[in-house]
Parts: sequence; C-alpha cells; structure tokens
Amino acid sequence: MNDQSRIDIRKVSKLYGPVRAVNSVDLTIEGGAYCCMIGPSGCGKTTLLRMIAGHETPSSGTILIGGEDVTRARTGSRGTALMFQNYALFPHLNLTENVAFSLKVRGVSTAERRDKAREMLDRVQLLHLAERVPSELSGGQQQRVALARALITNPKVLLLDEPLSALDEFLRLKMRVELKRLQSELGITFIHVTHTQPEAIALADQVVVMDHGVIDQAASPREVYNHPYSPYVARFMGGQNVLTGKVESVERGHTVVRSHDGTMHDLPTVEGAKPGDTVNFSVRRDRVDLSSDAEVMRNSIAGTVVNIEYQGTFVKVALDTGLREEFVAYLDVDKYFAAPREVGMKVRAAWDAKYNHILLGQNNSTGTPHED
Amino acid sequence: MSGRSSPSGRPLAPYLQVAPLAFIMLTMVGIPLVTVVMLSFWEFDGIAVYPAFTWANYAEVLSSPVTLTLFLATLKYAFLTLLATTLIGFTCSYFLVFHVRNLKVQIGLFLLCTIPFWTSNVIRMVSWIPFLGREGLFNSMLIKAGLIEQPLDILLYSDFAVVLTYIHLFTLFMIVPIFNSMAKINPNLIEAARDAGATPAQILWNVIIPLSKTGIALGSIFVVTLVMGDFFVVRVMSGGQSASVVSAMKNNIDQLYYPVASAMAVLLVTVVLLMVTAILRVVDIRAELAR
Repeated sequence: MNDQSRIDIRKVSKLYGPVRAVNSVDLTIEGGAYCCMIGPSGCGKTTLLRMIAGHETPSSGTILIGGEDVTRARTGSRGTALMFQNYALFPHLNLTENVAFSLKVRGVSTAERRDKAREMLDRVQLLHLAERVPSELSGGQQQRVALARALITNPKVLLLDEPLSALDEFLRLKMRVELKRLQSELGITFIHVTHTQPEAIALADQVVVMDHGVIDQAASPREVYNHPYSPYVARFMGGQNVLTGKVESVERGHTVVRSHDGTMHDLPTVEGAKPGDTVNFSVRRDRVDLSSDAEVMRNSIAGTVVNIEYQGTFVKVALDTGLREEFVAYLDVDKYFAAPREVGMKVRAAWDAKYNHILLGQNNSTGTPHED
Repeated sequence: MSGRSSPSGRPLAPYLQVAPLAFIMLTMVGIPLVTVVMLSFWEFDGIAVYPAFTWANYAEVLSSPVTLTLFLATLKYAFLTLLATTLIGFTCSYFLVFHVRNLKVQIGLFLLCTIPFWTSNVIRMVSWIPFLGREGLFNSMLIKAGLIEQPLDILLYSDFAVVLTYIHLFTLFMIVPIFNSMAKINPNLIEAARDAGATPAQILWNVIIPLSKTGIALGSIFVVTLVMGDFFVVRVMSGGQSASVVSAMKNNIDQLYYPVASAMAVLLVTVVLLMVTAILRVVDIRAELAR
C-alpha cells in the first residue's frame, strides 16, 4: 500500500442542471488497490471516474490524490491517466507516436520519447507493430496500446472506463488476467468502471456498488457478495434471493420475521426493530435445498418450479413464489439428480437459519443482475 | 464490389451503372476540353481560324511577358484568398463543432453561414461597391469618426477589393469541408489529449489540425480552382485596373483570337492541375475519406 496513490473523495456532488449525477459521495480508495465501480448505466460511476480524472469538475466536495487536493487541478497534471472505453487512440498517429503523445506535449526530446514509447510497447507485446496506425490493429491490440499510452507517464492512478466492454468474451477473460497482473506489478491504484458483476468480483480489492448517484456499498468483493448491504446490492451483484417480512417477535439474540405466506424466519438481531416493522433479508442461492411442498417448516418458501437449467457444476432451479421476483436455488448436481424435479412441480425451498442475512439498506430498486 | 455476371459471363450491370455519369462527363467535360486543346493547335491569321497543327499559339503565349504577369497576379489572388478563407473557415468550423454544444444551434448557425448564398454571386459582389466606394459607407464612417481626413482609395477598385470579394464569395466552400471533417473527430480524442496533459494549443496543433486536413485540402481545391478560373470579380472589383489569366482570355475571345485563348486555357488547366496535385500530395484525401 502506498499513500502516494491513495484517493479520498469527500462529499463530492455533481449536478447537471437539476439532475444529481453524483450525490454527496464519500469514498476512500487505498493506495495500490484495485477498485471496481459497478452499477447500472446512469448510476454516476462514470461521472465519478471522470471527476477523479479531471474531465469534470465537482459541483461541490473535494477529491484528494495522495493527500493532495486535486479537485480543480488540471487534467494531466494530477497524476492520473484515463483509459477510454473505446480507447480513443489518435487515428493519424502510429503506435509509437500514440504512446509517446503525452511525452511529446511535455516537451521530451524526440529520441528519448521514442525509446520510452518502444519500451512501453514492448511491455504490452506490440513492439513489432510500432509503425502501424491504430485502424490496422484488432480490438485487443488497440486496448493494449491504450494501456501503454496511459501508463507511459507513470501515473499514480490508472482510471479505466469500461475497459473490457468492447472485447469479445474470450479476449475479455484474457485481458482481465492481464489487467490484474499489470496492477500488481505496478503497485499503483486502478479504478475500473464496469457494469459486469463477475468482472468486479474477479478483479477488485474493493468493490463500490453505486445507484442513482450514491454509493450503496463499498467493501471487499467477498463482503459485497456475501453480505450485501441493501436489497439493491443483493440483486445487482446476483447470487442472492431477496425476501421481505414483518417482524413477529424480538427476542434476545434473534428476531422472528413472518414472510408473505406466513412462514417464520429466524434472523439475527435487527437493530431497533419493533414487532410490525418490515425487514428485508437475503439468502444465498447456493445455500438452499428443495423438499416436497407438504412439509411446513421455518426458513423456507413454497413455490412452483418454472425453469430448470443444468449449469455443469450446479443446477439452477427457478421457483414462482407469487412474488414479483423468482426465487432461485443453485443445487448440487449429485443431490439434484438423486431427486430430479420437473417444471410445474410444487416444491418448498428451505435453508438453515444461519444463512439468513439482514439487508439494512433501504435501496430496494431492482438493478439488473448479471449472472454467471 | 462484385458485379453480378450476366449468363454469358460478361458483367453488364456495372457498365450500365456508370453509364449516366460517364455520358455526362464525356459530353460536359471531355468533349469541350478536347475541343479547346485541338483549337489551341490551329492556325490563326487575324481573320479566320484554320485547322492545322502549329505551336505558334503556344509560342506567342509563352513568349509574351504579359503571360507571366497575369499568372503571377492570379496566383497572388489565389494565395491571399486561400490564406484568408482557410483561417476564417477553420475558425468558424472550430467554433461550430467544439463550442456550440447544442446540435440544433449548430445546424442553425451553419445555415446562417449559407444565407449570403441565397442571392446571386453578382449581387453579393456588387453590394460591396456602395460600401467600399470613395463616397461609400465605410469611408464616410471613418471620416465621421475622425480617423481619416481624405477618403481611402485603396478600398474599391483595387487588389484589396478583389481579394475581399473572393473571400466573401468563397469562404463557405472552405467552411463546409472543414466542418465536415472536424465534426467527425471523436470528442474522446480531445479528452484523451487533455488527459495526456496537452494544452489547448497543443490539442489544436497535434490533434485537431491533423484530423481536419482532409477538409482543409478539399476546401483549398475548391477555392484555388474558383479563384484561378474567375474573370468577372477581377474585372468589376479592380475597376479594370488588374487582370487575371481568364480575364485576359476573355479579351482574346472578344477579339476572336480563339486559338491563342485556347493555348492560354490549356496552360491554365495545366497550372491548376499541378496545384491540385500538390495539394493531394500533401493530403491523401482518398485514404482520409475512407477512414
């Protein structure tokens, strides 16, 4: 961890007319961390990134990089480099000139910037194409050029705006690995904006989930995935079933909640909850088992099987429970095929009480979950 | 492109497709040009023209010191006009593309540029006369403002008036292509340059101008050919004091010196072709347009 590339965002807002694109955001990104900002389009993640890069000025609040206030510092002088979504390579310059561009505008001599650019191109394995122009390259190669161009100034922070979205699936996975490797080699802060949940989970040290201009949760990927803060985070990050109930009784150590069909759920203590309050909670899809509909038990939900998908390592069974969202169970392959189900069957999904996770946050929007 | 073959194996469709354009080019450009070239080799005895093959007309044109003067004068007009229209055209396009964010305003302002074209060239040109004349608006304004005592003679019937009229008439031919190539510049490129630490001047020089040069080249071709081919503006706005290549040609034609005029025309076409070739050397328009 180096403090040079630590980022502090304090009470930052950005208004476009009456629209609050970013609404009083507080966030600390440790130096040398890989941070992924995730959320649906229009959630403010790109605006936040652009404010860090200096392409937008916050309407209020301060941004510090390495402890230095850069809120109004000029782009290109604040130690950040931005890699654009469609790479934005200069079409009239060859790869060497593209990579050397920022050295050129800083007045580095021709020979020196050429050598540095070639060194950087070698690093991204493109030295053999140094004299080509961008339009002669494939998407993956263009992206590596964009990376080389961004890194040549030795930035403290590399900002990536949906860097993998223009690539096909195969390249995306390959580049994901390369990005991670590069980040640990360089030891600088990477901030990566994405709308793809597996990308964030796989890459990040810190996942920042945003919605409507505010941060819903900023934590490690395991924390975000296992202990989502709000129903929105649970839905958006995927892998969770979100349930709602009314508090039935509050006892020491646990709270009993009655869901829409009258089933009782044993939850841990909910701070300040009184009988009658509404509580959201979630249960991971892979912690659920199916049994026949007849037995009534606590921590379960009844439903009709509407879809079964074999996924190789697990079986995904979707239930219609009469709520607006389906209840999904990821079942162990061996266990499932010992007692296979059919679409239309009435079943009961049940789980151990310890897997009930309380969702404290109030953001109940649907999000767009990206699975698998 | 692959043309679909007719059953006999000879593709006919592509030829039919180019036929209308080929016909127009042949009748409107090819035949007149060949006629002019042919005429330039015919004999002329001061009264009538005889079919022949003689270099005499060229010898006359090339040996006359007036020819060089005429070409230099015309090239001077072309150069000054090109310089001014490029500067104005680039500035206007830059403003329209990069400062006017709203597309509707952009289109509106662009149409505003074309308003002068709603009237004829002649009217636009002649309308300068009451403005620039000795007793004209501009002179009386300067006198009333106490800036000058005597009216300025240089304003009208001068090279200044000729070039000013050219600029007025032809700037739009520069704005349109430059605007077109500038509008195609991905705004991300400018942000990327700014992100790399480039100052606005560096962005202009390293990104915007190189990416607009197709438009500048196209506009230059328009302006150069228009100025080189003009005689009317020179005649009216210089008050007969200056001449261009074409106005001299016009004099020859008025005196029925057709072969000499033709030889001059062939010479002019050659010079203009050389200039256009030079422009195309600097900018590979085909490659840029395909980009």
